[in-house]
Amino acid sequence: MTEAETAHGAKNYSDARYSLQQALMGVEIQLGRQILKSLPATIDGLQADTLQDKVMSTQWGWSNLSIQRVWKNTADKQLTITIGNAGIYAGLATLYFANAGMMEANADKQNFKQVRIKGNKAIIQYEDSKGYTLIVSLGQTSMVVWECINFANEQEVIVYC
Amino acid sequence: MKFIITLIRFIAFTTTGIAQDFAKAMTSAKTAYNAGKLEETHFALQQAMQEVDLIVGKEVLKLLPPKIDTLTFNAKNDNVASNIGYVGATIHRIYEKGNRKADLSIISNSPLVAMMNTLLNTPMLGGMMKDGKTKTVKVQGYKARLEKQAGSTDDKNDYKLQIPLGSALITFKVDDCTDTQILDFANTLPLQKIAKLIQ
Repeated sequence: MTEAETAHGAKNYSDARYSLQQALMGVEIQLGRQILKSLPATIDGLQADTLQDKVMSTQWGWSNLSIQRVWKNTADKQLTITIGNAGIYAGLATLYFANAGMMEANADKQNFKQVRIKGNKAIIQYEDSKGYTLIVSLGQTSMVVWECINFANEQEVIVYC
Repeated sequence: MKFIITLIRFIAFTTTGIAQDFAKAMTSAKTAYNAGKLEETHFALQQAMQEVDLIVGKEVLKLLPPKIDTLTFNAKNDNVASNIGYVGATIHRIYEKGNRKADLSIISNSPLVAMMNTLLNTPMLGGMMKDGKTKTVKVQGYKARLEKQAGSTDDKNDYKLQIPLGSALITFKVDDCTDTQILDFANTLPLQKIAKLIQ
């Protein structure tokens, strides 16, 4: 912030903007760490693996921030939450949330459906190789994604999440 | 969960800025940060960035030529807008005479820049998308994409030139001209000075 003020005073607006961007990114990462602290340490027998806690940003802007935590137990049951920019799911979320016609395209074989989590639109998907994935869209680019390995069924996923 | 949703929705907004006092915004940011109020700090820093964008926009407008060919501009139509969110600041000027116009817009952090750079720097991709109406040119050493469009009458053409400058995109559209003319007009724009200000 001090560098931004100095650059602005010297009418070096390009440097002022750059310093402001760095300050914004710093604040966003701190906010991300606060969100991480607000997440529970245990969820119904699953313990948080804090060594895998992540707060990362590619550049300033909430849409570039990702927050991640993993909970697991000794029996290979694992829950991973990713908040913010879950890049690998962005295309999937856009496809489903923006195109209602996709939701019931292939009722017998489809492995996803739309649900609601605390009033928010969400998609739940199942694959043998990775278990359940629950995606809740928040705004245009942010989302919360739960990846659930070795959960019994979608009801259990929704209760946990 | 509610805290997360409230926080994300508070921060992930797009707004068109009006003039804000930079010093006041920075003072608010530092005060809020020292008090541990990160959301307020973030908001104040965004206000400060909007102010910088508006100042830069006005400085860029001062660099632009007073006329393009016989077309002149009306300062009342000049526009600088700061958008916090996906798109950065937008600087816009129109040159006109009668029904003929030349439209110049500069968008910093434009989402189209990545696609434009891909087309300009990947000859195979640019070739695949060739339809006879576009070509890659150079303006003051910068690669640009020139597109021919239908003009006001069948025998005339409009041309649109898109020049990526770092993360910013300059879009220059001139009615009823030739490709040589639009390139000559573009060469009157001080691109290096503009790039220095907006990057």
